[in-house]
Amino acid sequence: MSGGGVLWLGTLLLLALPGAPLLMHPAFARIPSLARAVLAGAAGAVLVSFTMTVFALLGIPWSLPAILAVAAVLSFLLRRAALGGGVAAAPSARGGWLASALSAVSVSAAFLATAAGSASSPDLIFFWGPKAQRFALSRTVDAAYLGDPSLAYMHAYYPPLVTNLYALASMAAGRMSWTAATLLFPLLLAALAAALPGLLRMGVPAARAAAAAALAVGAIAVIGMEADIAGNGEMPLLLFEATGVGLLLSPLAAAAGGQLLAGLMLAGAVTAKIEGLPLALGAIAVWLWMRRASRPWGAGLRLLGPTLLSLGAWFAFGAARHLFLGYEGEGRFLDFHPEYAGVMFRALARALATTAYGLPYLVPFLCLLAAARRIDASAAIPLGGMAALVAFGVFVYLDRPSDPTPWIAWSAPRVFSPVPMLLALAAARARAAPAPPAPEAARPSRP
Amino acid sequence: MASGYVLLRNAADRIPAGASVAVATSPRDPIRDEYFQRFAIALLPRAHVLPAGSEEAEFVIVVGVAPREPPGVLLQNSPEGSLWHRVPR
Repeated sequence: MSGGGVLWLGTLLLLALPGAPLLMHPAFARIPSLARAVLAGAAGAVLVSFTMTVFALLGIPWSLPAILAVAAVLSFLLRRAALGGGVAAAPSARGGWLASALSAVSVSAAFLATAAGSASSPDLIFFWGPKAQRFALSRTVDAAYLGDPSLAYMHAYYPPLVTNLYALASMAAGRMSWTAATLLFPLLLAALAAALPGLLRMGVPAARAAAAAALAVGAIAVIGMEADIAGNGEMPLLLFEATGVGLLLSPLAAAAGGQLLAGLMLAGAVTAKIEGLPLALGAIAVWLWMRRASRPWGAGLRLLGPTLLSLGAWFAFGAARHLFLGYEGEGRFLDFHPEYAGVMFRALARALATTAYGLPYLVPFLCLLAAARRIDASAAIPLGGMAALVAFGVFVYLDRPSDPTPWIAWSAPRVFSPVPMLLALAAARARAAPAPPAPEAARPSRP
Repeated sequence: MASGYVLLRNAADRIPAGASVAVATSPRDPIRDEYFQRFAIALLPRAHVLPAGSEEAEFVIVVGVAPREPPGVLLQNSPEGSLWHRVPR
């Protein structure tokens, strides 16, 4: 990779700067340090992307210092909203070294596959990259480019986070770096492998947290290599989804700060890819439903507010430039074709079964099944997100007037790539098996 | 596809910003033409990329064997294909 590529990637490390003021709040003091650093970068990414979208909406040209400064101000403002939050319990001690080693192997495999060029996403060169580099050259979201009918295949309405961040890095590096963009797959996977055990450890014992994280990371690595996700929106999406749902499962979510942070992570997922929206809404809906007795209006606002603002700014941009008013599908909306249901489910089963023999989906499912009898009610949060995602996938595959088989063949493993991670997070919520009665207690006491 | 990708990357330095360019396969393959047009949009961000066969393009990139009728002045030739500067008529 050239010096430009290193600079391109290095720019993305700056995202932790605007995220730091929020994450340095004492409310988050008990988040393990690695997880806290990753969350600072992820929160910074959401705030930077939001700032860039608002700049584009207002016609303010992008510049790196101005974007970072405004995002940092937003971070300070959110920090005020996080006041008063606290973590009830310290996370359990680190553990699960075997699981950590497994995660390291998964990340290394993803890195080698990406470096060899065998995991590169064609969508990077078809639309994620071209849009980003055009935005970088134009110093804004280029409405004329998005509105060009010959470029309709670039999906003008796709949410903006990935193209915004790629454009930011391209502005700093002076050009788009295709190699650096593909390397985000193993690098963000490594970030997830570093953050997820710490996040889960706040709610479950260390060994179980590490095992669930390793299972999620391993499944994502295998699917990513099989479905060629390097450089497209999948890995940022998965990072935001896993951290967002992980936060909802942690004791942090009981306080305002944790809710806001989870809301930010899920807003990142929603603005990374369309599939992030059903998953985020499903997980948040279950979380709120489980606390409905306490009428959690404020929590709902903190969880949904970042998504509403981020997506609202993007759709306002689309409407103001006469580009789009919302998401678009193939053909007419609600042109539902249930007659393809049989074909669709067969194609779906085939697509998932041929992704590393279906193992990335099957193994986490079997783990959840093994833990099912001791599962905690909070497992419904990731499972709710998963149910919403699956329902969304089935809906879009049937909401078109033709046989969805070819589309499913190349998209389903990616669309359903969060499923194993969500199954692993649900399995982590299994309570420890009750200890067998001690032999002394079983024997009648002697007189 | 990889050979066309390499050709486009190498041609990027020879095509000035703002110039119009078309990519065509030889022998012609409309599906691969479409892919290479999209590759060109990605790899030549400062150029104005036109559809394959466009007569208005100032530069023509031919993926594959050199065409029987030269579309202009040959600027670059390689096993992957060739780059031509079309002479204004």
